[in-house]
Amino acid sequence: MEGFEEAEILLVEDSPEDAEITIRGLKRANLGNKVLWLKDGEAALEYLFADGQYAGRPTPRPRVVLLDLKMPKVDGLEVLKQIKADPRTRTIPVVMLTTSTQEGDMLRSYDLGVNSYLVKPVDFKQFSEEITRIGYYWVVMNKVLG
Amino acid sequence: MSPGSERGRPAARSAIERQAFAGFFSAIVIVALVAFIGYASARRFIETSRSVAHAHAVLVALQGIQAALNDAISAQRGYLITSSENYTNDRETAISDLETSVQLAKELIVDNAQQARLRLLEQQLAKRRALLDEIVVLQQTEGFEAVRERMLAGDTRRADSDLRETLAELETEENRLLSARTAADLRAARWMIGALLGFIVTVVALLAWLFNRIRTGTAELERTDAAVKRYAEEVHDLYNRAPCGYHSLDENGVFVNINDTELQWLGYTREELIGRKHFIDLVTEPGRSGFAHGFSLYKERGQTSDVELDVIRKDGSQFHVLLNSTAIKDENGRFVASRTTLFDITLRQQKERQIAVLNEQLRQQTAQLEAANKELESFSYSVSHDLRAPLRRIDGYAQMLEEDCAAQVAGDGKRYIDVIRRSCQRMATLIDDLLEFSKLSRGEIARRAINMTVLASRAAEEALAACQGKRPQLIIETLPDAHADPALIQHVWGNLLANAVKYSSKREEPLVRVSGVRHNGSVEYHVADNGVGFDMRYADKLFGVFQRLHATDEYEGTGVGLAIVQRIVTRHGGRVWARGEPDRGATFSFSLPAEDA
Repeated sequence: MEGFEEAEILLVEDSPEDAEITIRGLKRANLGNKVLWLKDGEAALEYLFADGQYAGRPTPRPRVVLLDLKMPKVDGLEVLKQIKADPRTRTIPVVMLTTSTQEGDMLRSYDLGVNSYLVKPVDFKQFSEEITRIGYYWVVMNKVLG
Repeated sequence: MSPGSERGRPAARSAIERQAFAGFFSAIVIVALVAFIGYASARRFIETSRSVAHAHAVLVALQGIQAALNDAISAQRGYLITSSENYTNDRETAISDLETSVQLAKELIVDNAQQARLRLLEQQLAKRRALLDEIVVLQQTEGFEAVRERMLAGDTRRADSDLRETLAELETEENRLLSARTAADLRAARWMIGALLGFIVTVVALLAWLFNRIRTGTAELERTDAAVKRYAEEVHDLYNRAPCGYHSLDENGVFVNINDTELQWLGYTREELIGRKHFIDLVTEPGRSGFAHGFSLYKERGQTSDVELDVIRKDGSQFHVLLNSTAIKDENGRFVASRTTLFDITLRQQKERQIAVLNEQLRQQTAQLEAANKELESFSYSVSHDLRAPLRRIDGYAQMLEEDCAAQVAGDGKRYIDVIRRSCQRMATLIDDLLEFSKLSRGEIARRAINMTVLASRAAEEALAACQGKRPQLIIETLPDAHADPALIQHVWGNLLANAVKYSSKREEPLVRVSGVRHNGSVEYHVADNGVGFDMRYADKLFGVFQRLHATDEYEGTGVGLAIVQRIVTRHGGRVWARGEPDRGATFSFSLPAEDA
């Protein structure tokens, strides 16, 4: 469990394959070592609020949260809602990742205060480029508040 | 049956009465006037006749005086000759007659001049009598000779001639008066006759006028009666043949009148209903109690409207009616009869029920459709998410395979991986297009005025920018404005122009022309190219989803574009069609209803 506190990118993704593809993209941008992958929304919330299995740890502040929209138990929108509703986590940038091209999800995400929204392209090369861009922007370029 | 004809009568009657009264009054006045003239002239005639008779009487009296005087003189002479006492008596009688006649004349004569003459005559008579007496005394005392002497003195003769002269004057004057009065009397008689004639003529004329008035009045009455009868027949006919039922009920609710139409509906004869049946007995139970209560209320209020009832025919079947009624009351406000109109609304009721059933069906169908739409939405959501996710993984892992295991998958292996990845891309495009088609097929249409020239030009720019082959020459004519959803119509232009650019891109001199025309009630647009065209035999396949007329490696595309075009135009109430010939270009057209259509 060492190194959790150092995680700069929190990836919340239920599909191991998608997670692997995403992490591979991030590695290309030399951001692969700073990624923490959690498999569902519940774990993500416990991690962010130092609760449940992460209880007692100092509150972590990742540079960016990459959040899959469709997940079992607690879905991406619910996680986003809780992050943005709590003053401790409100300023952490959240990028919504989704396969869906439906506009409704995007609108709801923006309503809840998402910082960026990425429809994952089918093309792996395109996807890698997008992930790299997002990684650079939020981790390297963006000065996190606080 | 009709209240209006009765109401119109009194006024006409009083007018006729007034006229008759005026005629009668003027007739009386005329007759009275003429009668008065007659009466006055008759009175005058009587007056003049009386004065004529008076003149005659005066003359007779004067003649009496003359005669009595002559008698007296004659008796005097007889006495003088004979000295017989007989003559003395005769003389006394004559003198007495003379006095009577003079007295009569005095009573009769009123005229001043005549009275003066009469007084003169009296004096002369008195003088003469004195002479007579003097001579008689002379005879008795001195004898006949003395008498002769006295007579020869001549004053007896003079007295006689004076008397005769005065009498003659009196007679002459009286005769003059007589003739004047006779003439006046004749005039008065003529006047009277004239007045009488006038009276007769007037009465006859009045009678003739009256007769004529009566005759024309009778003819007029006959004409009016005929008109009234015709009118009554017409009203009766209208009443009976009206397309609605009419009836009247007395205060107990018993029929007093009913028209043929309602009888026909009910299946009764008039005799079976009038004075015998209560209308309430023909009403079915649910309405019957309401009607019983409502009828007394209606009699008070004076009317009732739009009451719906089920009425039973003689054969027991029923029909549904709409009842409207007005209460007819007398001048004291007492209920006389109802005047009721019935409409058979069985059909309307059936239709209303059908409509209600259809509405319910429609509501259910709409609910089903909404449910289906929701389902479709969640389905397309699943499609967009669940079908794309594995594709991305296939593509991603194929790429990883190529990158990480290059040594093992060299040669054909690399080509296989390419095929896998291209297939993934195509599948992804198909899914995206399908979702797009599904999205554009649903959702609201927000119509407003669109400048189609601007919209088409913008779409053309995008199509040219995406063009990978030879860029065509583009001609966009001025297009008529449309009234439609701009976001959706933009897809139509985008697809049609992209197709035109794509399928003409292999020409030497590709050309795309956009034109439009306004028709009565619609606007029509055409996109023509000189590209590869198509065989009209396959024209019906053009607008189907995933239907393509060209191989994918020849021209890219999923076959959804024209399906989207057709769906959007159809949803706007328009029409899509295409003409083409292999290798000679194609023209795609669509029409939209005009705003005012």
